Amino acid sequence: MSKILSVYTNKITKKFGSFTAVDNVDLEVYQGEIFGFLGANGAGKSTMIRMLCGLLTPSAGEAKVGGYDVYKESELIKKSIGYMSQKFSLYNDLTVAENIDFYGGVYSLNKRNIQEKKGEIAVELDLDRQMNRLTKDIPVGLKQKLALACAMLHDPGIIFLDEPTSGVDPKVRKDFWNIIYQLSEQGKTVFVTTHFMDEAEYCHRLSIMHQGKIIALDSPQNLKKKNEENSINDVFIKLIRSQIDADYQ
Amino acid sequence: MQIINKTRVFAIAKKEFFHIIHDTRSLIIVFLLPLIQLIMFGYALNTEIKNINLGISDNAKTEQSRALIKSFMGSDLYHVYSISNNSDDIHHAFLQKKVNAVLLISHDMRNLQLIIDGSDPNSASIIKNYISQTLSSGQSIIPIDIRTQLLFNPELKSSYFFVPGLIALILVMISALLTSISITREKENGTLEQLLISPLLPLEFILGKLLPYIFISMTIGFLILICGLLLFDVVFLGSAIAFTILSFVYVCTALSFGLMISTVSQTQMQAMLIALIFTMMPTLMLSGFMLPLESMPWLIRIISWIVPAKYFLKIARGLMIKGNNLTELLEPMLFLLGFTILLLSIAWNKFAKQMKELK
Amino acid sequence: MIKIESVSKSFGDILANDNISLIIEESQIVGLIGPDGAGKSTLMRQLCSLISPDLGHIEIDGLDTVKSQREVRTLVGYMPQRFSLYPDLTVEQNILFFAELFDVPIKERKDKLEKLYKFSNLKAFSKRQAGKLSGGMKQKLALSCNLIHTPKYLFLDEPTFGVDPVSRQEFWELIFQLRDEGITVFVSTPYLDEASVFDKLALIFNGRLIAYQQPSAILAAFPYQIFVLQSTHYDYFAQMANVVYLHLFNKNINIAFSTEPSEEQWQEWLDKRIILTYEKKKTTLEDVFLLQSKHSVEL
Ligand SMILES: Nc1ncnc2c1ncn2[C@@H]1O[C@H](COP(=O)(O)OP(=O)(O)OP(=O)(O)O)[C@@H](O)[C@H]1O
Ligand SMILES: [Mg+2]
Repeated sequence: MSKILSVYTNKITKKFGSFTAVDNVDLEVYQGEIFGFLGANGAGKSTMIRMLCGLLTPSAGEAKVGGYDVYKESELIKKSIGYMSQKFSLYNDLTVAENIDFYGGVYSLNKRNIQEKKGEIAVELDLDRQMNRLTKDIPVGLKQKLALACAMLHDPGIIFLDEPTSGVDPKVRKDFWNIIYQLSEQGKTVFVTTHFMDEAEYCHRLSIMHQGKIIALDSPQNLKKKNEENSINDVFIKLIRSQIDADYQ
Repeated sequence: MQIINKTRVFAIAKKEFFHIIHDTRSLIIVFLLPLIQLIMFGYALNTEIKNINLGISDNAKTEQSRALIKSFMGSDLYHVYSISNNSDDIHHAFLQKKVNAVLLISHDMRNLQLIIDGSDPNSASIIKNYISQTLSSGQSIIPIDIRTQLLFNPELKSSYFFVPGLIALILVMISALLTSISITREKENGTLEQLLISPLLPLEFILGKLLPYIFISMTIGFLILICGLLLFDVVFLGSAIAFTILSFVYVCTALSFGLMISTVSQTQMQAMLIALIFTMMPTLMLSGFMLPLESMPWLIRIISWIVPAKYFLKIARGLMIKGNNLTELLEPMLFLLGFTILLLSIAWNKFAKQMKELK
Repeated sequence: MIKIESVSKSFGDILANDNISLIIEESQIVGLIGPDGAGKSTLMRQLCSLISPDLGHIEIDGLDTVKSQREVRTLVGYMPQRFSLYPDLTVEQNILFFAELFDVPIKERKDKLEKLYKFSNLKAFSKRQAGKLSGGMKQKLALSCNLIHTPKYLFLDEPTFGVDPVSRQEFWELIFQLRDEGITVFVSTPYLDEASVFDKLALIFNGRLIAYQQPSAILAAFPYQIFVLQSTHYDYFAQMANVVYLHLFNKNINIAFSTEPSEEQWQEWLDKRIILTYEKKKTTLEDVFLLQSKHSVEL
């Protein structure tokens, strides 16, 4: 596999007032990779993702997504990425079909295209009989999968998932990760944050973030080996704990 | 500048429309509220006086004076009582609210004296008007010089004044409210973020949000117009087409105002409060709806220039009562058009800034 | 002690709780496990007297939750699934508001606050507005607000939603400490590895209680041996009659048979390259969960 860069950042920084949420982060993520973006609460993961999606302007540094510059080419980035936020992103008071229609329209797909996609989603998520139900009435896990499907309507090459599996049950989580694998096999880059450490084990590469900085970055296997732990959960706890202890002194 | 994409504008408009029709309860409120307002304000503001208790003291007792009394008795406006010329009696009648007015006819018929209960100056002046009208129209026999001449509203119906005012008030309130919460709702729910990472342009968003609400506000406009005509028995002398065009412009002004509010407020609550305060107060006080602008201090008169309802009031009164045509109402229309463009571009600008960087 | 007796509750034509009975002893941590929409939150809300059962009844310390609602509410604390804070108040203002609301003695407040800050790591952010916190920080703040007072019974609905592993560890330490002080905790969580150290687990599927035991007993009761196969022939196994459990996960198949295959059978599969490897797997709570949930979609 020749390595095509999907995400590239060089000393990217975001400040809110005097507080630095993302602090000089360098990152390279390649096409087709499932990249796990881990970190403690408030480490700056969502902030980083929002900068990469063009929702926030960086305070300093360089960043490219899909080869496009986040400062100058945010319009082009928007067309080539999908994003699922930590907050729920569908309209609860619209039906499933109306949500799909709407996001299809926003990405200016034509009618036939939207119809096709709707069919695909219905089959894939077994949603056939739910199409005309209000989104607020369908199970949480299904909603989450639908949100992903809507974020993928325009067939983006890179997809950012901010805690997509928070609040869904273990079965749905597995289903969700099966979808992520499929996306990666189709050559799509998946940039995902999670607090479930078993999910972290499924990623190709991981980074662990603490107070705006990346403190570790490698494949799960290497991370475990280097830190002499049996699971990513233990690696995570070990690394973050030592950082917190260091901060106290 | 990038070109607006029709699909995206309609995607927003359609979605907005679905929001509205799925929420039946709010939909009913949106249509019912204006009617309730119309009826409540309507009857509260109705200053028309139906029963004037008129005491007449006929000291002449001539054929002429009797004819005069007959003309009062012939109208259903008055209940006529006979009353003695004794000032104590008259005083008593007023205190006991037996009469609203007393007409004294001197024994030589030369002198007519009208005494009116002034405790409610508003009704007093109306009563005065009614009586002097009856006097002048019924009895040319009596050489009284009446100068009051009423144009357009010969019956002096107060509904002629308040129905156009109510249309102006209700339309601006509802319209601004609708658009102002429609964007803040997306902010609160987090769905706005999803739109911001899409290729959607700020102007597309603004236009898409505008479209469905134009439709709704116009429907409401027609609804209150028709109900106003039926309930308060007002004339409508102008053309329906002119009304459609002109209220379209007015509605756009109000909706744009709502959009602008939603760019400065973070929550639906804020947006609602701002929308209500900034539409209701100026429309009630500064548009000439309740209080005539001519008698206001100059500063207020200048401020009134930026109150859209002032112009719509001109339009609505002109259309309904005077039967003005479009060209005669061009000036207020241009003002409204100007406001719309101004407000829309402010909303667009502010929103484009927010789209660049989410707060 | 909490006594739940034949409780049923439905919403429209959905039966959220179907004849549930269980007893929760004092000073225990009991986990409530089940898929989305299984009726976990409904049960919790009935326990803290927010809604009343259609059938059956619940007693907390001998008090009926419907008849003695007020008394029950002084005994219990409840943190709903999506607890909202005041976004315009600071972290500390939020916590202190709840301290005042629940009348926590001023002397105790400082001590508690310190304890809570230790688990949440929010001390450095105590002056920040809650609306400006990250998702997980908000959740930790919500937890802190709910733990500032200590009722005898604590009901927590997915308390660790979005909370990072380090804080989660600290949080459970805090909860175990509370248990040792005599508090009873009833908690739902999607983190099954964490649930495996609770005193007891209640498994709810489709509104019905299907197990109420110690985690080890639940695992021991799992009737099958699970194998992990490295294989892409999902369909081949899917149509076998004696397969009772089958789950595909990234080119690995988790499978269990009603009658285990013989050595020869395994060898045959290996030879035909239907499978590349196979190994026995220790049963986890996740397997129990997956075996039970047939509601959601297979990919
Ligand atoms: N608009 C803002 N103003 C001020 N501070 C902010 C703002 N948005 C985020 N922050 C701060 O930036 C830091 C990083 O937040 P971020 O949401 O990126 O964390 P995160 O890693 O995604 O955490 P979590 O795992 O809890 O979701 C936090 O301390 C947060 O309080
Ligand atoms: Mg986050």
